Amino acid sequence: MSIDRTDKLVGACFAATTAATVGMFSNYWPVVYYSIPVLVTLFMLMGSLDKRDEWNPPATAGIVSFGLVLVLLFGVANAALHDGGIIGGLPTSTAVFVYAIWPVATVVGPLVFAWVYHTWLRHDLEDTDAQPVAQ
Amino acid sequence: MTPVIAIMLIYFLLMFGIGYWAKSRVKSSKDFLVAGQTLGFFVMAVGTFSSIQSGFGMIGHTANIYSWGLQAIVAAAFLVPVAFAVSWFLLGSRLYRLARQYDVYSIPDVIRIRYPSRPAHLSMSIATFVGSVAYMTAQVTATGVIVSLIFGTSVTVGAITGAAIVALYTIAGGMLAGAWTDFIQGLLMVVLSIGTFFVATNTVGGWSTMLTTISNHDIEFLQLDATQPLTYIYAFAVMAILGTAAQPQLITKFLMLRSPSELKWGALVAALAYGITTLFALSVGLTMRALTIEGRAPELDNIDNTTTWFFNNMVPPVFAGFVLAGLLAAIMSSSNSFIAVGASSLMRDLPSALGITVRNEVRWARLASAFVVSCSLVFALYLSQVVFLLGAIGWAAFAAAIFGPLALGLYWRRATGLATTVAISFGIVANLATTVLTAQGIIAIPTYIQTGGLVTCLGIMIFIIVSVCAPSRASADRFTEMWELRAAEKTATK
Repeated sequence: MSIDRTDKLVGACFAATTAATVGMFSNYWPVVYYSIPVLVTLFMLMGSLDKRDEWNPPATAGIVSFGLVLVLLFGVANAALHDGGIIGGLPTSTAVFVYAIWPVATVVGPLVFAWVYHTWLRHDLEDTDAQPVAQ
Repeated sequence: MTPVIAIMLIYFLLMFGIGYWAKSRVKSSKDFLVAGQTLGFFVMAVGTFSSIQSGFGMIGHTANIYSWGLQAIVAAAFLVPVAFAVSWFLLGSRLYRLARQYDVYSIPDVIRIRYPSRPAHLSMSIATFVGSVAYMTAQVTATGVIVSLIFGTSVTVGAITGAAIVALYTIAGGMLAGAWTDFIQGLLMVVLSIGTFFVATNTVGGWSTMLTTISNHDIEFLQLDATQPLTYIYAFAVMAILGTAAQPQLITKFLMLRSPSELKWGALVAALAYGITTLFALSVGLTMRALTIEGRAPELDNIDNTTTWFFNNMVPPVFAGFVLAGLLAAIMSSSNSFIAVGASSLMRDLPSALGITVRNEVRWARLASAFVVSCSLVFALYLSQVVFLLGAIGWAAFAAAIFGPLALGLYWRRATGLATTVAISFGIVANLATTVLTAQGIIAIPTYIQTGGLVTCLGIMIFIIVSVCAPSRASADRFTEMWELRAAEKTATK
């Protein structure tokens, strides 16, 4: 079997998971920490493959952008750890989580899915049967 | 009759009403196990979040915030909403297609279709049954505590009463009743969490004043590295995210949708609802810490009492009654999903894996549901050692056992049945072994290691390694057959 796009994605997931595991064993938290946005982005990219294992470039760009925003926010929270600053009553790093990462994770991530689904993935399901309505 | 008891009786009557309505509509195992594939996105998404947001999510997170600081909510809840987006990405379209192409009502059904491996099908059937009973046992125990608080009964009577109520409407209406009761319970949890946030924070002068009170006393309490090692906190977050996408109560909801258009907004609804209910633990946990600093609340010896102390002492009884109803809803919404998942494993998946054909599936599904509840009650009330072991088979075990075989297996043709069996066995055994060996003092796990996160990651790694090192042509061919349409289109393109 030749190496395809999914194989590469699974390989990247394996690398990120292995790094996180090593970090957990060795008490090196930055690796565990940054594996979170990396794994989220990789799984979103995998989930955006259509039934022919193809990506839609705009959808892929949207997911990668979301991933980059997450990595950036994680980086800011990390850099601000113990900086002594206060934002909204919280230490800066905690404030980044409460006032930025949490809302982005709650709203933007699912909106990215809605957009990718509407513009790309729903075409996979157009030939499936709809069920009678009961709601 | 006190207002609290009146509220609870109305709540119970509503649940019974839904069960009675659903009973008249359940004609087949498809109706019983996957709600006849009739759910719209709103009911499905609210039901999904409410089955994920269990009693632990409301009461346990509150206790951890009170004890650890704000880092507890970063570990366990802040990133879970993005897990709903990941779940919809990874599972939504593919499970919907499978559910329309095959008779897929459960996770073992997906495994049966994906892998030509009886051991994989059998091990997943056993794992989901054992895991469902394990979850149910924990929910029965929590139900006993809440019902006893409301009605002033013993915990035993409370557990039996609570379990009987969930069992009645689930046995009557299966997942059709389960999905709609989850929906009502989810809405109740959202409303109560918003109300609790304002009531709790106002008790100590509002959000800003509360934070000022805490930071003036101990700014460390609000830091990300307050009390627990950061490695532990972020490993917990990894487990929370990957585990969410691998919980049976979430996965089976994708098999219940009525049309593909229902997928689009589900992740947003579920994530928003979950995010809003996080306000409950966030506000009560921090408020209790501020009250303790102000000397208005004692330093609690048992942090599990954080939620009940606050509502017993700081809010009007009627509001406390609403909150208890909401907490009971959180517990019950997880319970009925696991009754249906466990029943499906017992009456459909296990017999199928063993080559046994079951007739009159609805009757057997009802009997199996009753059996799952009975097992959970017996374990919760009389076999504390079993409860201890079952407690180890929870979130992380499902994450390690299911994420690779199901989430990756839907995309990756190299995934194999052998790797599935190995990953499932590892997920169960690793959790049980670490629990038992730690409790017996045979091994000591460093404080920075979060076992659940570690087992989750190791489970995924083992699944990938075994799939690559022991490839299976049969599994790869089955992958192609399963996505038959894709193969046909590729041929046409060539």
